[in-house]
Amino acid sequence: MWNYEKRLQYPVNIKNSNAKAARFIITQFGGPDGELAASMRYLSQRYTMPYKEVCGVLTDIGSEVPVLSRRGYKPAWGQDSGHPIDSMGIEVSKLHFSFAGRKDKRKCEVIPMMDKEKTTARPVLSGKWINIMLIFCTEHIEPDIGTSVSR
Amino acid sequence: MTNKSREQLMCIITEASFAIDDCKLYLDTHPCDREALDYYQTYRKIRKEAMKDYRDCYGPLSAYDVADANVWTWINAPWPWEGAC
Repeated sequence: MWNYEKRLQYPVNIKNSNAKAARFIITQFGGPDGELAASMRYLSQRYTMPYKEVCGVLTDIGSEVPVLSRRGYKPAWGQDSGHPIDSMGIEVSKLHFSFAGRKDKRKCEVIPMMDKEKTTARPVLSGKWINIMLIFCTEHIEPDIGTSVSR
Repeated sequence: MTNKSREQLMCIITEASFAIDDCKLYLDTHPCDREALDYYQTYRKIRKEAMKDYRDCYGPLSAYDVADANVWTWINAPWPWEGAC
């Protein structure tokens, strides 16, 4: 059902990257109350709607959430301003890439760290296509929102 | 061929597409609004031409519309998250 175009819905020009803002924003994306979960609910509920208008709205808005959330993401590896994080706001300590089918066959894993110190719980996410969690940075958000982030 | 730069064409495409995204949500709940339908058709036309120009001059924007070449140009740079940031 879905097609995509190789462009951003909205242009992005980051002048000052802000990892705290990025961390907060990305927590809105994932998790049970996040945008992505809402999108999945809309896309699941459209099948039983009695009115075509509602089917249309649920499909269109459900489809736009991943678009809106992905715009402006950029990799921030190695920057002094912060650590890369996944969609739950958990810092990711390592990211490698899986090149399925390529001759070098480098093995890849994403290992999210549960907190700043090394812990024993290290779930490994891997697979043929690894969803790269990038950090969303924006110049429009005030930098002192870190106090409201619980992690 | 077009005399517009890559950035100019991409700007036109972005703006026309956003207008359509917005209009589409309105038309979902107001399917008979003639003014909105005309608005949609205007931007559809602008977008279609800009997309065609972009594809011809700068590369494919959709995987269903990749011009014939000796290599698979779809994977060429830039991907949307590269560049301006």
